[in-house]
Amino acid sequence: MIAPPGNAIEVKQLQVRYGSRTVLGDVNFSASRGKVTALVGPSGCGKSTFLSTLNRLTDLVPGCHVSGEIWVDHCRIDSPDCDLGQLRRRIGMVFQKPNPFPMSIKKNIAMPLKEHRFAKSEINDRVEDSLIKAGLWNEVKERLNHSALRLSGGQMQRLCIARALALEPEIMLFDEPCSALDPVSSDVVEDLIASFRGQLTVLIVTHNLSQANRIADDVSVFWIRENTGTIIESGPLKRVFSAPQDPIAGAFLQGRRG
Amino acid sequence: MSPRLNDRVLTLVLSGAAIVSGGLVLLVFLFLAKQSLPAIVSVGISRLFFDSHWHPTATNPQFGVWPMIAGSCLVTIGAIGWALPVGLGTAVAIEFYSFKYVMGFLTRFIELLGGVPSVVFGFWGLVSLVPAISYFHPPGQSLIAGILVLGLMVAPTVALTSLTAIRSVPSEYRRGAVALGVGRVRFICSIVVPTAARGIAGGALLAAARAIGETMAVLMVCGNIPQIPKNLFEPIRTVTANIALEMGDDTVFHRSVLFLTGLVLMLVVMIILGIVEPFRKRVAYE
Repeated sequence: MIAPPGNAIEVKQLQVRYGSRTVLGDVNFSASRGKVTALVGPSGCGKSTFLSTLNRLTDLVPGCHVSGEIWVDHCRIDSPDCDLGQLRRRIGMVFQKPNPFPMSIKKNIAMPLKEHRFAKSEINDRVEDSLIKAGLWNEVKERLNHSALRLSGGQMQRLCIARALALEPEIMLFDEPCSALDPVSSDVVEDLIASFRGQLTVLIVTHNLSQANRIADDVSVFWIRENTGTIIESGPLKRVFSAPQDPIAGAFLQGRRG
Repeated sequence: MSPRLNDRVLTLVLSGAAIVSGGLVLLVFLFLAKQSLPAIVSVGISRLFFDSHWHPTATNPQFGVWPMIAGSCLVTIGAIGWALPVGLGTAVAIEFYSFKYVMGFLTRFIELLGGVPSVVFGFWGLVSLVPAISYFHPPGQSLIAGILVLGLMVAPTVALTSLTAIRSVPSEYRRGAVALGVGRVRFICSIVVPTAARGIAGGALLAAARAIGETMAVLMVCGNIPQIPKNLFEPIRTVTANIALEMGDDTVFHRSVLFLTGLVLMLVVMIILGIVEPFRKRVAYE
């Protein structure tokens, strides 16, 4: 599954308000197909909010209002006739805190597949397949029917990744996927995400600049301006780190600000 | 006062309170046992289950209490049988399907419904439900009337406890499910209800305990004939209604027999709880 070239995500003039408070404004962003884009910046500048506008998880937040244009594969996802189920099948999301459902390992993966009406015979294949892709198969193949809540933190996070992969998404969103994990598990998950390069379009929010350095192709720096989060610098990782156009972004990336 | 002394005083006060409340339950139990003793000695427990009728004051007395135990159990099972799905459905509707301001109003209304005295429910049942049932199937005062009235009384309890249980389901599950494109129905059925099952079952048990102990409403609508009903439309008499109906008779012996029936009902409830408890523990998935 090699993705065709072009931008998988295009965001223009995005603004997000919670009630009367504007948390994101004037955000312009694009993510190249098959590349890993790191979203970095200090806490509370709207990176996670930005991520959840892309699969319209912001719909869950009462009083949240999103305006601007969000294009995913040349399809405006903020239009009323966007098929949300389909959108969320195509965009997987993994959260900071691993959130496997309180059911067996197998059912964690099979349940969303059932929702998307995959045939029973295919579900079993996809469970195995996605666990292999997430590097978890060898650890859990003997206990697929055990509760997912008994896994270690790192295993849980990989199960959450497997659960999303089973739906064969084109885009994966990671919201600080390693920050709740121990260093060893963190490395395993990081390597896994890096392995998606070229196959999936990956957006990853991270507070760990060296992690961004290791796995990302592109980087976008978020910052707070006039109490509103926005993107102050975007581009290929090497260029942004070595020759940032925005002085604040430069200072942040060198660890002097933020 | 030093912190340690403070702590010791608090410990003392709290354990005192715990001993008092625990002790009171024990005292009630002992009182029941003491009052029942004359009946246990002269009648014995076995006759409660083997005598065929209930004529405790006849010259040739009969002490068959089991039709009334059956009545108590049937009316409780029936009431929970419909109050559980309705109460759970209400809780799900409030949490997942209604607008926020309707939700607040609905919750207040249910809390209010839970506070309506049982005699009011009984009275309503007597003047409007019983005639309606008798229109279809006389006499009207019946097991089904008791089931309907009791269920109405305990449904708010089930709804409120279910709501609490549902709200304690972690919000990460919601976000995770939505991010995977899992719809509301499947999310509710395969995540919310199983996760909250323990709390829901606890609420149902609480409601069952209230239903089996309920006296006034069932007395008013059930017809009070001590018999095992052959269908839903036959009258029944519950143990509690029996005590209320006959306690005015002031022979010491009769009263002692009534206490004994109360003791037996209490034991039946304890046995049922003992059976259900392990299942409740197993429900939690881990």
